[in-house]
Amino acid sequence: MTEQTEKIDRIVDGYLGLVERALGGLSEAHRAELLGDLREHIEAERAELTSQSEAAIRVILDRLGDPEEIAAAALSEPGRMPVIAAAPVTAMMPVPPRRLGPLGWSLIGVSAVLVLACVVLTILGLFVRSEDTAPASSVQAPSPSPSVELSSGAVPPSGVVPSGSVSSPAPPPAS
Amino acid sequence: MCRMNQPTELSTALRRGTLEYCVLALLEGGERYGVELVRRLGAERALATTEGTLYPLLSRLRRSRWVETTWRESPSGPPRRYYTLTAGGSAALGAFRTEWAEFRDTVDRLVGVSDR
Repeated sequence: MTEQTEKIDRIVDGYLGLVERALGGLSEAHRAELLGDLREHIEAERAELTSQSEAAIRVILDRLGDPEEIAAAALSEPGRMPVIAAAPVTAMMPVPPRRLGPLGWSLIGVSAVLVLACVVLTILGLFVRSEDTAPASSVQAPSPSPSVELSSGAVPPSGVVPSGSVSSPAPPPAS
Repeated sequence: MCRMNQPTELSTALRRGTLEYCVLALLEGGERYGVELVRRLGAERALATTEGTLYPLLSRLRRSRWVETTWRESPSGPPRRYYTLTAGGSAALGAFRTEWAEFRDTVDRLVGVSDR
Protein backbone atom coordinates (compact mmCIF):
# COMPACT_ATOMS: atom_id res chain seq x y z
CA MET A 1 0.00 0.00 0.00
CA THR A 2 2.84 2.39 0.82
CA GLU A 3 4.39 1.51 -2.49
CA GLN A 4 1.16 2.50 -4.19
CA THR A 5 1.03 5.78 -2.23
CA GLU A 6 4.60 6.57 -3.22
CA LYS A 7 3.79 5.89 -6.83
CA ILE A 8 0.80 8.24 -6.66
CA ASP A 9 2.97 10.87 -4.97
CA ARG A 10 5.41 10.62 -7.85
CA ILE A 11 2.60 11.07 -10.37
CA VAL A 12 1.38 14.18 -8.53
CA ASP A 13 4.89 15.61 -8.24
CA GLY A 14 5.47 14.94 -11.92
CA TYR A 15 2.27 16.76 -12.81
CA LEU A 16 3.06 19.78 -10.66
CA GLY A 17 6.59 19.80 -12.07
CA LEU A 18 5.15 20.14 -15.56
CA VAL A 19 3.02 23.09 -14.44
CA GLU A 20 6.01 24.72 -12.76
CA ARG A 21 8.18 24.35 -15.83
CA ALA A 22 5.52 25.99 -17.97
CA LEU A 23 5.22 28.94 -15.59
CA GLY A 24 8.50 30.48 -16.70
CA GLY A 25 7.44 34.10 -16.93
CA LEU A 26 5.47 34.22 -13.70
CA SER A 27 6.80 35.88 -10.55
CA GLU A 28 8.12 33.62 -7.82
CA ALA A 29 5.29 34.54 -5.42
CA HIS A 30 2.54 33.84 -7.97
CA ARG A 31 4.17 30.61 -9.02
CA ALA A 32 4.41 29.37 -5.43
CA GLU A 33 0.83 30.41 -4.78
CA LEU A 34 -0.56 28.58 -7.81
CA LEU A 35 1.44 25.42 -7.14
CA GLY A 36 0.25 25.52 -3.53
CA ASP A 37 -3.38 25.89 -4.63
CA LEU A 38 -3.06 22.97 -7.05
CA ARG A 39 -1.36 20.74 -4.50
CA GLU A 40 -4.01 21.59 -1.94
CA HIS A 41 -6.72 20.71 -4.47
CA ILE A 42 -5.12 17.37 -5.25
CA GLU A 43 -4.63 16.51 -1.57
CA ALA A 44 -8.25 17.37 -0.77
CA GLU A 45 -9.47 15.21 -3.66
CA ARG A 46 -7.21 12.37 -2.62
CA ALA A 47 -8.56 12.51 0.92
CA GLU A 48 -12.02 11.88 -0.45
CA LEU A 49 -11.00 8.82 -2.47
CA THR A 50 -12.18 5.47 -1.18
CA SER A 51 -9.20 3.72 -2.73
CA GLN A 52 -5.88 5.33 -3.62
CA SER A 53 -5.58 3.88 -7.08
CA GLU A 54 -3.49 5.19 -9.91
CA ALA A 55 -6.58 5.37 -12.10
CA ALA A 56 -8.39 7.53 -9.54
CA ILE A 57 -5.51 9.99 -9.32
CA ARG A 58 -5.35 10.19 -13.10
CA VAL A 59 -9.01 11.19 -13.13
CA ILE A 60 -8.31 13.97 -10.60
CA LEU A 61 -5.38 15.30 -12.63
CA ASP A 62 -7.35 15.01 -15.84
CA ARG A 63 -10.11 17.18 -14.42
CA LEU A 64 -7.53 19.71 -13.24
CA GLY A 65 -6.42 19.95 -16.83
CA ASP A 66 -3.41 20.17 -19.06
CA PRO A 67 -0.39 21.69 -17.23
CA GLU A 68 0.37 23.88 -20.24
CA GLU A 69 -3.19 25.17 -20.26
CA ILE A 70 -3.12 26.00 -16.55
CA ALA A 71 0.16 27.83 -16.97
CA ALA A 72 -1.22 29.74 -19.95
CA ALA A 73 -4.23 30.79 -17.87
CA ALA A 74 -1.93 31.99 -15.09
CA LEU A 75 0.30 33.89 -17.49
CA SER A 76 -2.63 35.60 -19.19
CA GLU A 77 -4.09 36.79 -15.88
CA PRO A 78 -3.77 40.55 -15.56
CA GLY A 79 -1.50 41.36 -12.65
CA ARG A 80 -3.61 44.29 -11.65
CA MET A 81 -6.99 44.98 -10.16
CA PRO A 82 -10.02 44.02 -12.25
CA VAL A 83 -10.89 46.67 -14.79
CA ILE A 84 -14.56 47.12 -14.07
CA ALA A 85 -14.94 49.41 -11.08
CA ALA A 86 -17.73 48.84 -8.62
CA ALA A 87 -18.84 52.47 -8.57
CA PRO A 88 -20.64 53.88 -11.60
CA VAL A 89 -18.49 56.17 -13.70
CA THR A 90 -20.99 59.03 -13.64
CA ALA A 91 -20.63 59.35 -9.87
CA MET A 92 -17.00 60.34 -10.29
CA MET A 93 -17.57 62.95 -12.99
CA PRO A 94 -17.46 66.56 -11.77
CA VAL A 95 -20.57 68.61 -12.47
CA PRO A 96 -19.68 71.48 -14.82
CA PRO A 97 -20.61 74.95 -13.48
CA ARG A 98 -23.63 76.43 -15.25
CA ARG A 99 -23.64 79.94 -16.60
CA LEU A 100 -26.44 82.23 -15.46
CA GLY A 101 -28.62 83.99 -18.01
CA PRO A 102 -30.13 87.49 -17.52
CA LEU A 103 -33.22 85.91 -15.96
CA GLY A 104 -31.05 84.06 -13.46
CA TRP A 105 -29.21 87.21 -12.45
CA SER A 106 -32.42 89.25 -12.07
CA LEU A 107 -33.94 86.48 -9.95
CA ILE A 108 -30.87 86.48 -7.74
CA GLY A 109 -31.07 90.32 -7.45
CA VAL A 110 -34.75 90.26 -6.49
CA SER A 111 -34.17 87.50 -3.96
CA ALA A 112 -31.25 89.37 -2.43
CA VAL A 113 -33.34 92.56 -2.04
CA LEU A 114 -36.21 90.57 -0.48
CA VAL A 115 -33.89 88.80 1.96
CA LEU A 116 -32.23 92.10 2.92
CA ALA A 117 -35.63 93.76 3.44
CA CYS A 118 -36.76 90.89 5.66
CA VAL A 119 -33.62 91.09 7.74
CA VAL A 120 -33.88 94.88 8.20
CA LEU A 121 -37.58 94.70 9.10
CA THR A 122 -36.98 91.94 11.60
CA ILE A 123 -34.20 93.85 13.33
CA LEU A 124 -36.25 97.06 13.43
CA GLY A 125 -39.26 95.18 14.78
CA LEU A 126 -37.22 93.64 17.56
CA PHE A 127 -35.71 97.01 18.46
CA VAL A 128 -39.07 98.80 18.68
CA ARG A 129 -40.65 96.04 20.69
CA SER A 130 -37.83 95.94 23.21
CA GLU A 131 -38.20 99.72 23.76
CA ASP A 132 -41.95 99.43 24.30
CA THR A 133 -41.80 96.63 26.75
CA ALA A 134 -38.76 97.77 28.70
CA PRO A 135 -39.77 98.21 32.40
CA ALA A 136 -39.58 101.86 33.48
CA SER A 137 -38.47 100.98 36.97
CA SER A 138 -35.56 98.98 35.81
CA VAL A 139 -33.17 101.86 36.51
CA GLN A 140 -33.67 103.03 40.09
CA ALA A 141 -32.01 105.96 41.74
CA PRO A 142 -30.24 105.01 44.93
CA SER A 143 -32.33 106.05 47.92
CA PRO A 144 -30.52 108.16 50.44
CA SER A 145 -29.19 106.17 53.24
CA PRO A 146 -29.48 107.47 56.79
CA SER A 147 -25.81 106.94 57.41
CA VAL A 148 -24.67 109.13 54.55
CA GLU A 149 -21.63 111.07 55.53
CA LEU A 150 -22.09 114.66 54.67
CA SER A 151 -19.36 116.80 53.42
CA SER A 152 -18.54 119.80 55.53
CA GLY A 153 -20.56 122.86 54.84
CA ALA A 154 -23.41 121.02 53.35
CA VAL A 155 -26.74 121.71 54.78
CA PRO A 156 -28.22 118.58 56.08
CA PRO A 157 -31.67 117.99 54.81
CA SER A 158 -34.30 118.07 57.38
CA GLY A 159 -34.85 114.79 59.10
CA VAL A 160 -31.36 113.63 58.42
CA VAL A 161 -29.24 113.32 61.44
CA PRO A 162 -25.54 114.02 61.08
CA SER A 163 -23.29 111.04 61.27
CA GLY A 164 -22.32 109.81 64.63
CA SER A 165 -25.68 110.21 66.23
CA VAL A 166 -28.26 107.75 65.18
CA SER A 167 -31.77 108.51 66.09
CA SER A 168 -33.35 105.61 67.71
CA PRO A 169 -36.89 105.03 68.73
CA ALA A 170 -37.72 106.10 72.21
CA PRO A 171 -36.77 103.48 74.68
CA PRO A 172 -39.60 101.87 76.47
CA PRO A 173 -40.24 103.45 79.83
CA ALA A 174 -38.32 101.75 82.55
CA SER A 175 -40.54 99.94 84.89
CA MET B 1 -29.00 19.85 -33.47
CA CYS B 2 -25.47 18.62 -33.26
CA ARG B 3 -23.25 20.21 -30.70
CA MET B 4 -19.93 21.07 -32.20
CA ASN B 5 -16.79 21.58 -30.25
CA GLN B 6 -16.17 25.25 -30.78
CA PRO B 7 -12.66 26.42 -31.48
CA THR B 8 -10.93 27.17 -28.18
CA GLU B 9 -10.12 30.68 -29.32
CA LEU B 10 -13.80 31.64 -29.35
CA SER B 11 -14.62 30.05 -26.00
CA THR B 12 -11.54 31.65 -24.45
CA ALA B 13 -12.63 35.04 -25.73
CA LEU B 14 -16.16 34.55 -24.39
CA ARG B 15 -14.88 33.30 -21.05
CA ARG B 16 -12.58 36.23 -20.55
CA GLY B 17 -14.33 38.88 -18.53
CA THR B 18 -17.33 36.73 -17.65
CA LEU B 19 -15.99 33.73 -15.77
CA GLU B 20 -14.97 35.71 -12.69
CA TYR B 21 -18.57 36.89 -12.29
CA CYS B 22 -19.75 33.29 -12.44
CA VAL B 23 -17.44 32.64 -9.49
CA LEU B 24 -18.81 35.65 -7.60
CA ALA B 25 -22.39 34.57 -8.37
CA LEU B 26 -21.75 31.07 -7.00
CA LEU B 27 -20.59 32.67 -3.76
CA GLU B 28 -23.65 34.87 -3.49
CA GLY B 29 -25.61 32.19 -1.68
CA GLY B 30 -22.90 31.76 0.95
CA GLU B 31 -19.38 30.53 1.43
CA ARG B 32 -17.99 27.65 -0.59
CA TYR B 33 -15.08 25.37 -0.23
CA GLY B 34 -12.48 26.05 -2.93
CA VAL B 35 -12.41 22.57 -4.42
CA GLU B 36 -16.20 22.48 -4.54
CA LEU B 37 -16.27 25.85 -6.30
CA VAL B 38 -13.75 24.76 -8.90
CA ARG B 39 -15.49 21.42 -9.43
CA ARG B 40 -18.83 23.11 -9.91
CA LEU B 41 -17.51 25.46 -12.63
CA GLY B 42 -15.36 22.79 -14.22
CA ALA B 43 -18.49 20.67 -14.69
CA GLU B 44 -20.20 23.38 -16.78
CA ARG B 45 -19.45 22.22 -20.29
CA ALA B 46 -20.34 25.48 -22.00
CA LEU B 47 -17.75 27.35 -19.97
CA ALA B 48 -15.12 24.98 -21.39
CA THR B 49 -12.81 25.41 -18.47
CA THR B 50 -10.72 22.87 -16.63
CA GLU B 51 -10.55 22.99 -12.84
CA GLY B 52 -6.89 23.97 -12.78
CA THR B 53 -7.32 27.05 -14.94
CA LEU B 54 -9.67 28.49 -12.32
CA TYR B 55 -6.98 28.77 -9.66
CA PRO B 56 -5.17 31.73 -11.22
CA LEU B 57 -8.57 33.43 -11.44
CA LEU B 58 -9.33 32.72 -7.78
CA SER B 59 -5.93 34.09 -6.86
CA ARG B 60 -6.72 37.35 -8.65
CA LEU B 61 -10.11 37.62 -6.97
CA ARG B 62 -8.40 37.24 -3.61
CA ARG B 63 -5.84 39.91 -4.43
CA SER B 64 -8.50 42.34 -5.60
CA ARG B 65 -10.43 41.61 -2.39
CA TRP B 66 -13.60 40.62 -4.17
CA VAL B 67 -13.45 37.38 -2.22
CA GLU B 68 -12.01 36.46 1.17
CA THR B 69 -10.80 33.10 2.31
CA THR B 70 -10.63 31.36 5.64
CA TRP B 71 -8.98 28.09 6.48
CA ARG B 72 -10.93 25.52 8.40
CA GLU B 73 -10.21 22.05 9.63
CA SER B 74 -11.70 19.24 7.59
CA PRO B 75 -13.23 16.07 8.99
CA SER B 76 -11.12 14.19 6.45
CA GLY B 77 -7.89 15.32 4.87
CA PRO B 78 -6.03 18.63 4.93
CA PRO B 79 -7.54 21.96 6.13
CA ARG B 80 -9.96 23.48 3.65
CA ARG B 81 -10.02 26.96 2.26
CA TYR B 82 -13.47 28.54 2.21
CA TYR B 83 -14.34 31.44 -0.08
CA THR B 84 -16.78 34.23 0.76
CA LEU B 85 -17.97 37.20 -1.24
CA THR B 86 -16.91 40.64 0.07
CA ALA B 87 -18.97 43.83 -0.17
CA GLY B 88 -16.69 44.93 -3.01
CA GLY B 89 -17.25 41.64 -4.83
CA SER B 90 -20.98 41.95 -4.37
CA ALA B 91 -20.96 45.47 -5.81
CA ALA B 92 -18.86 44.32 -8.75
CA LEU B 93 -21.30 41.50 -9.44
CA GLY B 94 -24.21 43.96 -9.35
CA ALA B 95 -22.46 46.27 -11.81
CA PHE B 96 -21.69 43.32 -14.09
CA ARG B 97 -25.31 42.13 -14.07
CA THR B 98 -26.55 45.48 -15.34
CA GLU B 99 -23.89 45.69 -18.01
CA TRP B 100 -24.24 42.06 -19.02
CA ALA B 101 -28.00 42.28 -19.53
CA GLU B 102 -27.55 45.19 -21.90
CA PHE B 103 -24.66 43.52 -23.71
CA ARG B 104 -26.51 40.21 -24.08
CA ASP B 105 -29.68 41.90 -25.33
CA THR B 106 -27.72 43.82 -27.92
CA VAL B 107 -25.88 40.72 -29.17
CA ASP B 108 -29.15 38.78 -29.26
CA ARG B 109 -30.77 41.55 -31.26
CA LEU B 110 -27.89 41.82 -33.73
CA VAL B 111 -26.97 38.15 -34.07
CA GLY B 112 -30.43 36.73 -33.49
CA VAL B 113 -31.49 33.86 -31.29
CA SER B 114 -32.26 30.60 -33.09
CA ASP B 115 -35.47 28.80 -32.18
CA ARG B 116 -34.80 25.47 -30.62
